[in-house]
Amino acid sequence: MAVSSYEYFFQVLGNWGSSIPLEGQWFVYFDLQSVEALKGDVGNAIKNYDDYANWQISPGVTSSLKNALYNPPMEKLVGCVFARSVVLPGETINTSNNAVNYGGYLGPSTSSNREGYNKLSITFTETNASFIDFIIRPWVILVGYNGLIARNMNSPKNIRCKSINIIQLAKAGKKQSSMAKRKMMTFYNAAPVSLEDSNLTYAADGLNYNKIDFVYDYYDVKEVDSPKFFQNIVTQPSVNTTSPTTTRSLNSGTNGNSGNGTSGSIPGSSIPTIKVKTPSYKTDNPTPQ
Amino acid sequence: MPNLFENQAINNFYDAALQRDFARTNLFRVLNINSGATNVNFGPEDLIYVTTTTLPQRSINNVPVPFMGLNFNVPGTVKYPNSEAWNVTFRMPQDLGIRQKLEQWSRGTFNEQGITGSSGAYNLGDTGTVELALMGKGGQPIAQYYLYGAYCANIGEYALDITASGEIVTQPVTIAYSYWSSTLA
Repeated sequence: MAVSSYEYFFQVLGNWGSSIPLEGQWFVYFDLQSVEALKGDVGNAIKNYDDYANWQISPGVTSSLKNALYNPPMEKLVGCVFARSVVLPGETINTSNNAVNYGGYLGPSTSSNREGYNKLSITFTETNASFIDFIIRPWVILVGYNGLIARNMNSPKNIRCKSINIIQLAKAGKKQSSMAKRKMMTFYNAAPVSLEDSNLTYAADGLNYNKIDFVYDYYDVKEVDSPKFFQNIVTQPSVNTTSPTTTRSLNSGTNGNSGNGTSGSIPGSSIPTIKVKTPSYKTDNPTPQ
Repeated sequence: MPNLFENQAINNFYDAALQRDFARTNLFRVLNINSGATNVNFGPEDLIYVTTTTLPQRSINNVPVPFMGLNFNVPGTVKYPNSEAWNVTFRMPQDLGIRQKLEQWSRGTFNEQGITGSSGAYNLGDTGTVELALMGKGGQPIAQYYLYGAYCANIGEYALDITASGEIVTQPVTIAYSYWSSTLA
């Protein structure tokens, strides 16, 4: 029995590696203990620079808010409970089509430079003991006073967070009951540089959010649990670029026939072979006629 | 495939009905409603006045994944439909004791008549719980349900009619909760 594109897609979705992750399953973890400037009385830390300001944030509150990270986050899968959304930065390479243009022909694409890092944006939910105003706001101000200069991480003026980790989760399937950590994005030596304006209103009850932008030195992406779950994924289908026709077959069947029909298995549940005709094209520059 | 009458014929139905009987809409009790921080508790003398309610719902969010015009439906995360409005109806005793408790619960959550402006005692941690039970004909509990984070969201209309023939007043109440669990799962 021939297997349609839809049946094939259904099978692909059924494999852990190619199934669809859920957007809302993530958490963010700050290594806030590495920010020396946030230890102790942050109000006094600001007062050192600004005599007129009278910040009053007790170290106990600061410590309690930082402990809301619910350690150890990688095991508890919670992280910073005040984070509501994250905008992960993208990547851009500047390109152009530089060449001598002639008639309708355009030059091939060429690249110039990689654009600088976009800021990491995290939106936080306002709470009674405000994580935004008792931790983030003084942190932004101290970044301004202390500066983003090269400094020992142990310096009391260090305002850089050693790492901000965004861990994205996935359903693990039958292998384990807890969610699987499918990947982790880590931003190194990060510091907040902007806190957006807040708007208070007498309108209907609702939550209050603030977006904070972080700068960082560099980032990387790691697979965490993925290798453990990746074993049973459909292997890449072999692609035959010479066949003039497009056929899909399963269970080593040929000519689009189904597999061996082994009882107890979903028909056509093994790895399909896809033969795709790829249009040929010349890569050398066309000659105008 | 075997003949379907082998195990789903009339005699099979009769045997199963004899053995398993059927659940009935009136075989339930609300075992407990407590308001949490304001310490308003509905005792058995109140809960026996409950006339109707529903078992709460639970659903899995569907994530449609379109492919070549066809939506593949992928199971997502959970939600509790209507968790902001679980309804229960009481008969009202003449001493209005149930009405009084509901008003205390509601004003404990937020009171615009506070001495200096408004007062609101309730955070999520101050909310209460609701406990329901389904039972068999012999009164034996079969399943218990627990609603967490409950607060009185709405004290419903208390209908009065001087031209009516003296029907018993019923009081609909809406309780909001965050999630529930049961002894069945």
